[in-house]
Amino acid sequence: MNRITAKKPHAGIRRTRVGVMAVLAVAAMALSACTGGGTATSGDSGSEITLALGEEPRSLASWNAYSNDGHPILRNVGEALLNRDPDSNELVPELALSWEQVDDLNWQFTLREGVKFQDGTDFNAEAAADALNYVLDPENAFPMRTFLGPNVTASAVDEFTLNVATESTDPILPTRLYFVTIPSPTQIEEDPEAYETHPIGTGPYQFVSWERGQNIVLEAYPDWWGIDSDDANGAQNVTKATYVFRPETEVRSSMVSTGEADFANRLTSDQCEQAPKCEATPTVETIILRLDTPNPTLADHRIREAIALSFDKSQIMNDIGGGGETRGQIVGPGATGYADLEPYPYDIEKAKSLVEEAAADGIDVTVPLHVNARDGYILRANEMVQVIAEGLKAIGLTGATSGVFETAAFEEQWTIGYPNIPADRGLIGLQQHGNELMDYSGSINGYYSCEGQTSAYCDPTLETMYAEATTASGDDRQEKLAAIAEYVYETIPVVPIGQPSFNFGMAESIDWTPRTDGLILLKEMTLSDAS
Amino acid sequence: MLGKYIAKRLAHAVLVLLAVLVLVWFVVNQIGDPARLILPPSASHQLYLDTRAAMGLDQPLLVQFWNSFSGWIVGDFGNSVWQNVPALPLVLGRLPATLLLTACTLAIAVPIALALGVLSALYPTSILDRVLTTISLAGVSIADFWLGLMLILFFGVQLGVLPTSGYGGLEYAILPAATLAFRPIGRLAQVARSTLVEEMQKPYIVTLRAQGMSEAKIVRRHALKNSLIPIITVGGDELASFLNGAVVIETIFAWPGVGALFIQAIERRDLPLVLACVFVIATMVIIVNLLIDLAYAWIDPRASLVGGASARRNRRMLRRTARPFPPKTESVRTLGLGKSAR
Repeated sequence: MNRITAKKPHAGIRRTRVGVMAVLAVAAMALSACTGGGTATSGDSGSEITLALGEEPRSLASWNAYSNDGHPILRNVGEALLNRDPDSNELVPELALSWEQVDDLNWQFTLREGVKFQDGTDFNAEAAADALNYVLDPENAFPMRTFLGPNVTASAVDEFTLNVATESTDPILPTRLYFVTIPSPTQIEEDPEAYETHPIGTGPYQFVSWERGQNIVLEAYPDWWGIDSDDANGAQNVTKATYVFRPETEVRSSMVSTGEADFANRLTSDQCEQAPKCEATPTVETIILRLDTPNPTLADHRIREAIALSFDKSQIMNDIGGGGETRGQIVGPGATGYADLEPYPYDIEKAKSLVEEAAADGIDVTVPLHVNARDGYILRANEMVQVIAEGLKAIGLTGATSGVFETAAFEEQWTIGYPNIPADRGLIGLQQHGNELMDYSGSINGYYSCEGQTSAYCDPTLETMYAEATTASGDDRQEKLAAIAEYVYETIPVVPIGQPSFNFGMAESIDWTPRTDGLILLKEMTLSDAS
Repeated sequence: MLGKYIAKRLAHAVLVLLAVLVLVWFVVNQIGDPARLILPPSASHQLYLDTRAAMGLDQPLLVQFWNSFSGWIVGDFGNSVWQNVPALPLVLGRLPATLLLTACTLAIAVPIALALGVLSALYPTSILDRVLTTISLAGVSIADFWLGLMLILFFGVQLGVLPTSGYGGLEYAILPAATLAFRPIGRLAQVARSTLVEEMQKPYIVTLRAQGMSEAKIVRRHALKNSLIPIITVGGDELASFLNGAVVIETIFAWPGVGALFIQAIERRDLPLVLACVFVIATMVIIVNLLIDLAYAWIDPRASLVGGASARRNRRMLRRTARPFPPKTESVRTLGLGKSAR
């Protein structure tokens, strides 16, 4: 007899019924729990706003205030010695009222008085020196040091005079210090572990909470020095800011459209136009094509020129990418050393003839050339590399292929430095370079010098020009750096394509003009219906 | 006896966990340099060397391994190199979101899948069966990232009745859970249909029909219960995959689960965080497998957990029959025999 029918029938039926009812009850409870909410609202009122950003900060330590994931929040909590004027891009006072170079290796900054950190610590030269020395300590190896020279040390001259010493002459030290926000020295000394998660600075907004993977909340700091100052370059019109993180641009765009968020960064131009209000600005980023000059084919100048002429830069920037300005230089008009060079034209016939000429001279134009990009960094990079590779095939470089790599795999191709590039590799890398320093020397160091980690080029003439330019200042620096720009425009180790726009979608109530340096400072926002 | 079985399984699980962690440690160590990824591209070589030293990457490989291994014993996976805070609490902080999304997904998927599967099985080869089978196959086939975006645009933007994304009140779970539910609805409905059709052809069902029991009662009280083993196996498989994290859906809906964190850790070659994620995920998968084995024994006493080799054979046999689309073991001829018996 079947095992089931052999059991006590009523007990079996009861158990089955109880089981079914239990399953249904659990399902009903879970579903009712899942549907327990209501209509989505931003939950904002008055001068509280929600900002949807593409990236969550990896750290809230002040050393991360330079990066795309860190600065939108950290530059509101912490302040640097200097800031930039959002219109003119000139350096302007922030925590330092004035500065001067006292000799080749020393700069002195006169600090603002009456400033307090958000933990109550007084801001003075000793506090600033302790904090700067911690952030720039080689043993801590914080990535912020990338933008400073080696062995920068700070010391207090008197209560409100700070001396910053460099190992070698650095005429643009104030520009570099624009990156470095100053954390509370008390926190560093007494609670160093909180330095990474609970930022304390002197800025207009203080940290409230961080729910990882969800949101970060800031609120107006009631003892901010700028409240009573006429040179604070802003005001606390926003009283509370909630940052949420949405990697998908479509989702950020939807949040602004539905009112779930009041502000969204890094939208495409189409998404931006659909937002209640759209603001766009040129950036400090430039999309480039870097050529492996150790490769025998790419070492030929005619081939490099042909590559520069083989595709339509405007198509890449505006039809495929999210919109922007085509450029003939790796930096834009705001940077020291900008030379106002025309973008390389799209001239496929000339490109073909250059390749044919090179082939006639014995250059192998059939070698594998890999047009590669990093996934998820440049908008629609996959389509861009395909178009460029097809362009190369069309002019006779028949070995061209395209590919997109995840970050780590791409960086392993990209940052190995000129001496380590295999001659048979033939990488034509599509990348977006950011010159936040707004000084062309930062790009030369990375992309054109023999020592640059991201350089695929080495030229003794350029090295000499660069060495002379780095110690120059003022108009002399501008001229020398611009001369280098004109030089590499001719030698073509890198093909600049264009500068993408930063597109910001906003609620109608927000009045804000984006900055070229990309900072999103709450103090520069005004709200038309703020209560 | 049951306690002894569970203790034995847990002891085995510890060995499995250690083996997985050792394997992952050596693999992740070979596939990339986290120092390069932390620094901006323009960082100097000296800063790169300083960063490697600060991260302990300048030490010999075996020293690095021992430093890591000795921490695992006390549950310390070290600091995430990406976020610079202890790795294990980071992962555990994401666990409630993953569990909530999993629970909501199963709460949507299981009742719908069972209903579709039973209806199809009751009217095999009918138009209703074909329609429902098509629906369930579509559920398996549909691309979840596309579906997720469409649901956001429709319910979040057009109708405005649900939040587009995020993690807050439970209403935030509806769209991601609904998106995720499509695949298990398809798989479970197919399994439920196949096993129930098979079950309904067995002689004892014929006997029950002969006794005058209604079809609804036969299904509810007998056939469905006897079909549960394959359904639970496939359901357990789906459960384990959700606990691994629904990476794409978590990314689209900004759901702070373990899956998205795991992928970010891999992309950044963040070994401590990868290990902590592997530890948490592997532990959950082990627990799910243990619960499934316990459920087998509860549903079908032939799969006794403590009965030695024959019971193990039975459990293996039960798992084998739990393929999503098992071949029909009962032929039409058997059905014919059933008819003649009636």
